[in-house]
Amino acid sequence: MDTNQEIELIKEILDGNTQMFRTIADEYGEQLFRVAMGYMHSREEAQDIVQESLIKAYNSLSSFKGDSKLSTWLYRITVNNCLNQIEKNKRRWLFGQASKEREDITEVFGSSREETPEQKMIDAETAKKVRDAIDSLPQKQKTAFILQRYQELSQQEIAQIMGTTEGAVEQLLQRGKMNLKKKLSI
Amino acid sequence: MENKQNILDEFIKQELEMKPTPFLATNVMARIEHSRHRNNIVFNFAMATSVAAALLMGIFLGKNYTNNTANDAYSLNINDTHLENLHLYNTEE
Repeated sequence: MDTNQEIELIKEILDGNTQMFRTIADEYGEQLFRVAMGYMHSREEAQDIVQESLIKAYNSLSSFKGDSKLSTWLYRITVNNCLNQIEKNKRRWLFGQASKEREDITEVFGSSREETPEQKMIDAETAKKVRDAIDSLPQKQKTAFILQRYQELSQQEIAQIMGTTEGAVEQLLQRGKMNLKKKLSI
Repeated sequence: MENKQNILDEFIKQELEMKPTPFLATNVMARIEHSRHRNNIVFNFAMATSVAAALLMGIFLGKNYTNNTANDAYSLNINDTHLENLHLYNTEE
């Protein structure tokens, strides 16, 4: 979908043809889900985030001026929602209301292979280690890393989403990779 | 070093293999419709409440209205003789 088509589509939705929003949800749902997975590491939570993001986008569609690509705008909303949700989860955890167990992730490694219980445990531990390493990255480094690795976006697109320069994104990616290497070597 | 990279790549690959529900767009549309429906209900309720309040206010004001227009005309006691006593000043002695 090119920018003109997007603007036409948005006009139509704003004119009252709500059902046309399904086209946007169909087109971008999976892409947004991948980004949300990078932050949440849980299928359920990622799905919730994507739904919330799309509804938020629908409600503020009139504020979309077409200065950037629709996808850029949607990624931005999703990234913000993920960061807010992570903060909420942290607060919930601090108040002792244990957040739901992220079972998905413990099954990440070896889900498609036949393994012994010991091997599964090692895999789960490795997955947790990698997840913790990604989660512990500074916010901007994490965003740049996720957008690049989970969605394979160019540095230019990442810069637009993050509202920064390509040079800054390159630096963030370099630092992020270095940090991950350090954390994974422990 | 390569092993660490492999672990990371494998982790990301496995996460990316997870797919959202095929009903994601349907769920979103259902929630949007529900929200619109709820907004309509709230709007209709607010409108109905406003009309009812206006009606009740009208009835209340109508009931409390008392006709304060003075029915009794003021009676003016004008003594023409006093007014016309100018001749007193004109009296020539």
